[in-house]
Amino acid sequence: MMMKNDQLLALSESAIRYNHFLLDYCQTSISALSGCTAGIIGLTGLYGFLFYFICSILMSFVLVAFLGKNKSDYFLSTQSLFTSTIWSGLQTYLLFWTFLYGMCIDSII
Amino acid sequence: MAELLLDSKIRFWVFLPLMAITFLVGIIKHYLFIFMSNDKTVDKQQLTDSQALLRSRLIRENGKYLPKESFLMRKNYFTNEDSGFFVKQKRQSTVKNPMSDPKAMTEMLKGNFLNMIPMVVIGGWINWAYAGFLCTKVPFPLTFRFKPMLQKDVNLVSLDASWVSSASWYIINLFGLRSMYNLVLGENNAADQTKAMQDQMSGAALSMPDDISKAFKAENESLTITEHKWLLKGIEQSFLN
Amino acid sequence: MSTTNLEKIKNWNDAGSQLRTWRDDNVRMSKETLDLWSTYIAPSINRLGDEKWLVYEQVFLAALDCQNLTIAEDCLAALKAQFSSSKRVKKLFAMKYEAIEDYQKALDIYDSILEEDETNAHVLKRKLACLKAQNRINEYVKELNEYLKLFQADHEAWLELCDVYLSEMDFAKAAFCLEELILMYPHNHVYQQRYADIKYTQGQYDLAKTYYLYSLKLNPKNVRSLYGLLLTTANLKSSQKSKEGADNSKLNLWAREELDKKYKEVDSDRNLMNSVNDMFQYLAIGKAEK
Repeated sequence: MMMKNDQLLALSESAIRYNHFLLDYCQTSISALSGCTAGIIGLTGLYGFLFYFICSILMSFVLVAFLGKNKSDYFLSTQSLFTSTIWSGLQTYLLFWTFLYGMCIDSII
Repeated sequence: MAELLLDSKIRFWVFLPLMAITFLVGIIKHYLFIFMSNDKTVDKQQLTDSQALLRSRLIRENGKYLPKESFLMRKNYFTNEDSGFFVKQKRQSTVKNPMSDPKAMTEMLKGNFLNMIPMVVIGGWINWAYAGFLCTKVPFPLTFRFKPMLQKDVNLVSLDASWVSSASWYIINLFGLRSMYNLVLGENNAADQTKAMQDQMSGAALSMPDDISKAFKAENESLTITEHKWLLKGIEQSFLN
Repeated sequence: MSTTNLEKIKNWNDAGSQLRTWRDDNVRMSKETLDLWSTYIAPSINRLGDEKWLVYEQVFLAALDCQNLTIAEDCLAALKAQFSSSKRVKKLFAMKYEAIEDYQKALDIYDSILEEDETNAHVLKRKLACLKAQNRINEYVKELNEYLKLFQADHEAWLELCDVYLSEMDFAKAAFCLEELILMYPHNHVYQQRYADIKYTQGQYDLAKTYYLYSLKLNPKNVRSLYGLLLTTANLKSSQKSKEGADNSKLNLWAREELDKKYKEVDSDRNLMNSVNDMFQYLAIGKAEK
């Protein structure tokens, strides 16, 4: 719950933190899920990374569509919706990708 | 180069257990932390000091919402050269010798127990039990620079850099599962040990700084240089237009 | 919480989760809590698991609020049996003594807790409440100030002190307390508006105007601020000339229109409209339109 005015900007710090926590939550879920998917279908190399970026950008678009007009009430900039968590999510993605790739793809083992 | 083949037993006896161990240790740590943290009693002095620091920080940040006199009054209370709160309060540094204070020692032991011991013990145990296996292969090509990172204690020069050794797999898990703890346990969980390590390095692990006189001095300085800029000046203009 | 929601509660499980929400949100629905307790929860208290101790405490406090001492005794006995040496339970004992107005006994218990734990904020606050309940206002103010020296950043205490000073008509000191609250919650429109109220009472119309405007900026629906703005600008209009005077009359007019709009929105009856217009006229602020 933030309030935005033309000149005075009244922001609630705890609300911002909470919104970011939720964004993080979405990103982690998406990373883990897309990592599992990529591992199971056996994506390798660049395609795997491409898959991750497509997934997380898709999630950002879904969020933007979901918030609709009220977007500026919850996040200061649309850009932060797309970029702020994408790198931290990559770590999780790589882990799950590697894990399920190792578990499922017999050809390497 | 000929394709390497891994025994599929490695998958079930090394690869999978390592991930499970890392994850479960994190969860157990979280609950141990909740179990062991009892409500501490703070002494009066410490409490007053931390509350004063908090209030001074609020004045610095939100002083712009007050009229000038009110702001200056508060600033003077804290930073006056002769009688200001931060100047007058002489605190000897409270870094206690842990040996002389048994209470501090148990606290310290607990902190160490929860942060250091699992790291060392689990890490050592994993090194001992699972060392020297190749676990898996990352599904993307890597350059040779990554070899020391991904192939700890497997020294084979001609091996492709995408292979991951067990010790490295443990470390990758340690970092990669961090955000999963957030997902499973909620925010501010104790399992996030890497964050605790960062805190220790910057000295912000406790809300109470160890050396209160230093903190007072720093706060005094930053409050002294804070100028008052009234945010509400001319607010009627936005209504008139 | 609306009554429709309460009607939906059919078993101990719903009742338990309702109590949990109240507990988490610090809602003090004492009467309803007691009702839920006696109809749904008391017969199957053990099904709540470890949560039951929290429920006992909650119901105990609600029972004290309603002066239902039998329920209070039951809860307290259960807690005492489980946590025989807990400070929190000791505090509850003392609160029971407070409820039957045996303040000396209550204070003795509080002091004994403080001997072990001198910075227990809950207990310190209970001691203050004892003083207030006995209407020893001078001591109360003194002790509250002592408390605030310890807990400089406790906003509840500042709010309480502000109320006490207001009831004693000590506006300068009350303003100081509100300034502290503004520092802690600069975006709370009620604090801004109350600060403006005090400044208006002190006759500092310029400041009052600014803070009324700011509270309106934070919440355009604050009717009290609109009235405040109306009065301050009316007072300022007569005392100032030139541009500022013109600005003030503009603001005055604006507040007037906003108020009119608000009354139309709620579709108030003619009588109310007339009395409002009479009041405006009485205050010599503006001419009635209807």
